[in-house]
Amino acid sequence: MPRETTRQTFMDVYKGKTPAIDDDKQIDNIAYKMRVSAKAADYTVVAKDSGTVFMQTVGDVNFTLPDRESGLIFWFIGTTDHEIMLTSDTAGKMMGFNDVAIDTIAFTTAGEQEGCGFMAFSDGAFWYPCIIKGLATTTLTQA
Amino acid sequence: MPIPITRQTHMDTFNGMAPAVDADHFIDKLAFKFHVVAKTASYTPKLRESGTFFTTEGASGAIVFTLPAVASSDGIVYWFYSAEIQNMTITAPANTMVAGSDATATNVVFSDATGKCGNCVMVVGNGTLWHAFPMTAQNDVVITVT
Repeated sequence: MPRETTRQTFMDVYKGKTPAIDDDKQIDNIAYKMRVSAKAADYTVVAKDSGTVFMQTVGDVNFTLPDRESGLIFWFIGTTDHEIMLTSDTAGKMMGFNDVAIDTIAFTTAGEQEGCGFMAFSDGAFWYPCIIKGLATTTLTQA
Repeated sequence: MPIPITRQTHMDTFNGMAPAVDADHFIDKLAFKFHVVAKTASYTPKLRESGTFFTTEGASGAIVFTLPAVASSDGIVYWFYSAEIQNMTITAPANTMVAGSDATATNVVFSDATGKCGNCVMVVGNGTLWHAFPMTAQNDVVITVT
């Protein structure tokens, strides 16, 4: 719960308890921490997870994305040398490499998976995975 | 404006209407959604659009995103995503962008014939320079920095 502040960050706050917004209705100099959630098994992401960093911790993990909704945003990071996969909520509704209608995208090559991941967001029509490559050369598999 | 919540997120809220800050003035476990905007014609983002995720969804030709004046860029962040098999260019005021081992770049261009779609760039300004963070769809995507 909110409580009186004991230390000031760089972010302006309102009454010490909530972020202030500036003339452009922006939270300026936003100071935040991300929600981090470890997953050791396949997981179906839900809309209220938006903003979360998911960490694949043990074994292959397939993250199934929720129904497309504009603004939803998730991060996925592999922390062990196992497959990390994203699956669209509906077939053909994810953007891939030179392909505007893929179902899945994954890091599948052993020795290249640790530290790799995705940031995926939606505009309500598609899922858009942005690729985080742990190495200069990393193999992605899309289908 | 904040609105009464109808379902609970993992994020603390204040009076059920606004994100709360913790004792260190952080928004802890930030729960948020991006402002996502599709552009089918070239566009110059506004400062007040900081935090927006621009896509080229629906574009039938090349798209150029022109960044605002660098002097006003401190803390401004934009995301750009190539969602069609069309060229996408991010253009900064001349020689004010850091990208691809070039500290005085002006343009970041995705025009590779086999890798135009599925690439992303996050751009952050610090009042002196724009800093580009490209995320490519595959290893062999060629990013042209000029």
